[in-house]
Amino acid sequence: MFTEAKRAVRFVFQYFSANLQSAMEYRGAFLSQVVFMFINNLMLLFFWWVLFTQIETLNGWSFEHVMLLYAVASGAYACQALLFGGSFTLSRAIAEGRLDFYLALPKPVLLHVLISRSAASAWGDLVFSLAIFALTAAPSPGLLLAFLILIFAGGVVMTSFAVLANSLSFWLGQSEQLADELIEALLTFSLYPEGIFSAATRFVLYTVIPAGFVSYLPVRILTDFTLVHVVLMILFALGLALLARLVFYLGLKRYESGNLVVINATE
Amino acid sequence: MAVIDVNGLSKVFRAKTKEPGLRGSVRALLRPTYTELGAVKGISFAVEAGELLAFIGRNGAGKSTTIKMLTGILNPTAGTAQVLGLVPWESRRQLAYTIGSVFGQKSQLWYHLPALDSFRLLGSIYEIPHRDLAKRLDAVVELFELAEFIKTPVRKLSLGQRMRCEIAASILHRPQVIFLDEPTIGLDVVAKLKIRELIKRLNEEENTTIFLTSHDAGDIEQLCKRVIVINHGEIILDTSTSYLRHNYLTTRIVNVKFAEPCPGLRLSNAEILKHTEKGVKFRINTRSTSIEDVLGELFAQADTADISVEEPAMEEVIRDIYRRPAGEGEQDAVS
Ligand SMILES: Nc1ncnc2c1ncn2[C@@H]1O[C@H](COP(=O)(O)OP(=O)(O)OP(=O)(O)O)[C@@H](O)[C@H]1O
Ligand SMILES: [Mg+2]
Repeated sequence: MFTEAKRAVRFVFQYFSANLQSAMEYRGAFLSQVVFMFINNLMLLFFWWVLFTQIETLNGWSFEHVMLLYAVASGAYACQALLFGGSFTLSRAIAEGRLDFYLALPKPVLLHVLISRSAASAWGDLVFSLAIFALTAAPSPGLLLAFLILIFAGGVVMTSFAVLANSLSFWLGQSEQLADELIEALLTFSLYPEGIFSAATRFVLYTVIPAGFVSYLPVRILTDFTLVHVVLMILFALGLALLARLVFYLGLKRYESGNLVVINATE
Repeated sequence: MAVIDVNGLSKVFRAKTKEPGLRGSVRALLRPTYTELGAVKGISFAVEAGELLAFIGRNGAGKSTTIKMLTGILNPTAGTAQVLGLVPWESRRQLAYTIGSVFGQKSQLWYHLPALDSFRLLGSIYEIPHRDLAKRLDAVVELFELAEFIKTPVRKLSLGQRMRCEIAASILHRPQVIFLDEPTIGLDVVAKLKIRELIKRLNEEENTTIFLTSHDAGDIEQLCKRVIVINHGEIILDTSTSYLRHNYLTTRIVNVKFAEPCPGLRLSNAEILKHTEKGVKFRINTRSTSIEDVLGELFAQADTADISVEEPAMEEVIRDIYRRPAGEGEQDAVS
């Protein structure tokens, strides 16, 4: 059990460093992407700052909260994109029969696909996330640790959600666009303060599109710590990950190695 | 014991049928109809350890599908198979440690990284201890002559160099069986020879069982002792390469040089292809005619200076097998 875990970590790490090396092959592009992402995030936040010069709070959310929200959401996204970048393109891999490669190797297919890619631009998001976090709270080591754990858990939620969305193509055939839009929606909602939504929408955001577990709940934990919320957060991340795994492997039974041949019957 | 044992293996692909237009799309979503395509239809064969076997057939015959089932990538629709005593689609991960595969049309190397980095990564995927990997890498680099370009990003390699790296990548973990699906596709003559030599050495020096598909007659002729031909998902021939070469196509071309011109030559059971003052070229079918009879007839009429008999090229033999309708010409060939 322990050696198994050690092996898995080594495996993830080796992929991670190989991905980084790949990105370094194009140092110029890498750096400009990172800088671009950083500036892009900063501009979004600037928009909120302008808004908050007009009003004090927005349904209980202050600019401080929004900054923390941005730190948490971009941190969670960075975790997904850097560690599990394969989650974005999973349905394409399914449609194009690219799972063959992973199926021929002696490692768990899902984990292997997930770590096979790393979006270099997300380093910009990570730097942004940490910088904004440093600006908001008086960053004690304890709080930083909590922050890192929370963005990792948020990253797991985002990754699991992406796996679920992308696994649809096992059943629906070519559905990359649908999956992309779902993934995009989760990220977008994670960047809005919860306060602006109605109760019904909030219900959706804690279930179907779990932005609540990517950013709202972590923000609440960081500003107003309760153990119950921490436990809830971790259980949700774990549960969603297990569900995603289950659904993926169920779908994999239907995998036909580039199975999405559509015949045009004209008669 | 057979390392590959296949019994009645079948694969039916189901493709969604879609009628044109929006209405068709909606209907396909609500009430999908499927067309079934039998890609592999109940094939059976066994391969012994150390064999070097060609698995050939026309485009779409079912070769890749068969390999995907034998490597555990695809689930079959019916039938059974064992590779090294394991059912591939049930024990996929366990089997992966002992087999290797190369799909000529897909790369398993990291495009942006040098092959050496891919090898290291594969080393950890296969959990090869560091020291063993270093030793193995040295041996493989030497055998495949990779030293010159092993540190160049794969995207900058020629196709031939890349393919050498691909095969090298598939044998790092010392598989007992490797599946090579069109390893010479797109290569020039020299690169092909190189790959063939490597495959041969792998088979001879490491006693690796090799299951090879190719559209190149040279690969089959120069490498393989046994040939299985698959057509429309069914095995139509399973025999030795030498049988194919010598006995399958029974036509022979005879070239004769005359000492004296022989304008009135008549041969009763031969088809004359060319007849000049200098010589004659004719085709006979050894199944219905004996060469001696025809030559006897020839000698009775002409004064000959030189005679040569050509066997048909392997490529022609294969073309002929593909052209025959199913069920014909196999009775005397299946061993
Ligand atoms: N994933 C798939 N979904 C549907 N049909 C498929 C799929 N893969 C293969 N087929 C069909 O199955 C048949 C056999 O295909 P296969 O790829 O095994 O042929 P092959 O012998 O390898 O051909 P080639 O020499 O062109 O590589 C073909 O008719 C092909 O169209
Ligand atoms: Mg093929």
